[in-house]
Amino acid sequence: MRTQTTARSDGSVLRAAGRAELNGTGPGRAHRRPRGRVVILALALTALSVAVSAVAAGSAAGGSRRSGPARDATASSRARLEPIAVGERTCAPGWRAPNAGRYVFAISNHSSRWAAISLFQWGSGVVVDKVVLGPGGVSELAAQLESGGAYGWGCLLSGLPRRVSAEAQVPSPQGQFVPAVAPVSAAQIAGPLLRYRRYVDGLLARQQRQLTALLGRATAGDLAGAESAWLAAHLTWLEIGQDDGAYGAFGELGRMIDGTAAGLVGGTRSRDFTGFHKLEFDLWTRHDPHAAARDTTRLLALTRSLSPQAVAADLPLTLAGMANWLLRCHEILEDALRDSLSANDDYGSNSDLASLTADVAATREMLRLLAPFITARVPRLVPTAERELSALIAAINATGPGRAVGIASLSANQRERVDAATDAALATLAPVSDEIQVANTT
Amino acid sequence: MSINRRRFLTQAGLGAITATTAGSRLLDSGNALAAAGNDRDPLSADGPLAVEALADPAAALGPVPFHGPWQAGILTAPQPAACFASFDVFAENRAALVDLLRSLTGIARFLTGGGAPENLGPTAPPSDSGTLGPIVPADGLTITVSVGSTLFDSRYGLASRKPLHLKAMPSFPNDNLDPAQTGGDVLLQICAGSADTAIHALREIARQTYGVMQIRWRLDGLVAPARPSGVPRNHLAFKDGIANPNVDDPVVGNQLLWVTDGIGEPEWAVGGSYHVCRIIKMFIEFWDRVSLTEQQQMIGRFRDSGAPLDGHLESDIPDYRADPHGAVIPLNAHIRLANPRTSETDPSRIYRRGYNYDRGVDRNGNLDMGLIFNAFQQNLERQFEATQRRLVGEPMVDYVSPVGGGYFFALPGVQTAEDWYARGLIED
Repeated sequence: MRTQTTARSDGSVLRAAGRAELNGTGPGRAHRRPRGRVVILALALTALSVAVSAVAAGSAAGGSRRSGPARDATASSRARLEPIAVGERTCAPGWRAPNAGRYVFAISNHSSRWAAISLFQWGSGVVVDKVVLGPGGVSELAAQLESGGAYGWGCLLSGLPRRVSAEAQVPSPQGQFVPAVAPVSAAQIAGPLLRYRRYVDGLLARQQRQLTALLGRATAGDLAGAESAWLAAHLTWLEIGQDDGAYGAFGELGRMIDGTAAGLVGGTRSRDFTGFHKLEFDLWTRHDPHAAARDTTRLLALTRSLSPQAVAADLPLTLAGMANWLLRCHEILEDALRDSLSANDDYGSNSDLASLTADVAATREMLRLLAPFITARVPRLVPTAERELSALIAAINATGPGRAVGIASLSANQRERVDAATDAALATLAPVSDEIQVANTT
Repeated sequence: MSINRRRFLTQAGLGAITATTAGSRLLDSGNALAAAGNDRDPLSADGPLAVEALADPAAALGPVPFHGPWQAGILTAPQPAACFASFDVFAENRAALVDLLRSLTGIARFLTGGGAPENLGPTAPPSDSGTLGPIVPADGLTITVSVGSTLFDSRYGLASRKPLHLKAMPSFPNDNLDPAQTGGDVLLQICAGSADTAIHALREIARQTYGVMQIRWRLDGLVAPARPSGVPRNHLAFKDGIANPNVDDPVVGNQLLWVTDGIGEPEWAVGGSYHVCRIIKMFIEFWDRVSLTEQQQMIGRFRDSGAPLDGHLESDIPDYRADPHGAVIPLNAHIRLANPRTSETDPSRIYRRGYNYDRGVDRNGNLDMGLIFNAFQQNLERQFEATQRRLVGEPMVDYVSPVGGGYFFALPGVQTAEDWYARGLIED
């Protein structure tokens, strides 16, 4: 609800203005902001009717403990409060869309059942927002109604067929209709996701060659050669967008390939400390090419199991799989901010800035694949993000020649510039996974 | 010293006296300044006070009783300000350790009761730093002393008397513990009505124990006021501590909080409690880029009201039996994993008394903020560790990172004016 709550700090107003800029709209015509991540909606939609009945049953058995008083209603102090009532047989009777603008709807469930109540765009069925209320429950829902848009309320009460309110058209001063953007279907996202799998397969093949070269250098006792081969192979891994095996990418295997010693009993001495960072530790901290050779053999065995079939299993064409994949648009860089820019995952190579460059490349691949879907919803997001990612690369390059400059040895000003450029790009990228709702229907 | 310099000092002194005697000085200051300007160089005259004290801070919170079967600062409702300081002990032998514990008891007894510090005469430095004024206010101060497993190593011959479950805090799968802010021989949890009272207490304790114990790590905490009501919020903006067991009830306290007779613990430990303190960094920038829906699904509560996702009020009890598939409160939501509310998991409930912290900026330019997770329980393994194992891999782990803290044992209370901390541990 980043841009939909009403009681906002001044900082958020700035952010909201930034969004209007991305949308190519003025303050009076903010863009539609669907909410929630696909995972949640997909699960909620499939399980809702079942669960609502189950919860209602439990509630009936437990008496009327949860009906009655409203939740804190502090958000409404500065917004127009519009009552919306739902009953056993009624769904927002008398619903008439007011003028365009920001509203807080005071929703009350007068029935004795659990109710999922949603505000949706007529025609496309895109859910603007929704609340789930117990019997007698009251809640608020904040939403931006767009000029020329058409809206309705959907009421799903446990054990009853879904009801829909009347359609209400928000007047448009220019008399023009602003078309709603339909949700993206799973079939539409499947294409880019399949292309992303091929992108990953290609990088993994390159990485196997680089690791084989690393093994050769390490076995020959060539420390410098091994270090340079390690750097190349590790950057390839990062370009896949799977830094530190975060977000469950490749599961436990991902952690074994690129996890740090954090959380392991014994730290760097732990037998479970494996993969790229263990090798980095062997080479830069222990200066031991023979240990590196042993650990490279182990790493090669791990990465060899990342066949195209394994990649496909890790990036499944399910709704939840697609939702998880979409998160990478911003989470690759979130990882970089947390681990690389804090140098928390450095074991001696001082390659954090180079890692960041690879993370940017992975993020750019995501943007390239998703650009048509993003642009249809937030017209200027992709060019803005591209500009900000270029500024980030420029800030990294400005830190000096070569790439083995440690974060800690940068001047305060250089660090601030890199941090600022990362923060700017992240703020732009964060909404992407909220904007693209796969197969989201009412 | 020039004449001008001396004149400045005189006037500054006068200004201070005026400030303490005239409650409404801000209102009068304009006139006072105008009057002073008549016969003085305006450049040398004092201006109005920038800040006027709103109330007598000493009146804010009264003294918390120091003596009792268990220490204050555990059942005590959390005071607004806290200072957590972990020390390593350098006492040369067991006798020196006894001296340390007796002095610590004396300082804590005096500071928590308040009063006039001893006058050591004109030749010694003052006995009190004086930052709280000439009379030390109690201000709700509590000083809770806990000991780490390292105190029971070979140094003082206490190994055989170690509480059964006390050990070094292990690294859990999502931890990122920094040795420089983990562990320690003694942990002081200092809580008070205001931050200056807490830091004054730490300062007095540190300077009166110099050479015998040394600060290993330290972190200040605060409890936010209710926003707008109910349980205070943490830095993720969610109300934290709603589901605390009612340990004020002696029956509950004896099952969940206090070490009691007959549970296999050494006799001296009765009235003590296992104290888990964990510094949990929160990635609030990342958190702020997540939709409210997702935030609430991760926690399992509504952010604004604190109610569970199947309820309306923060006091509502989530009904997981009515939601077996996690459609309303996801199966991996924090509150559901932490406290599944079954008869099997109820004995693992822990009593939390946490504080928010905020300490500057991280290396990557993010705000360094988080939670001082602070919990007391009867049995480390049955309670904290069981809860922690359930939470491994929860979705929230991407947004938080435990970076320090430790396992400690909160000593039993100091019972009388002759008693001292850990007397039962060392004397019997």
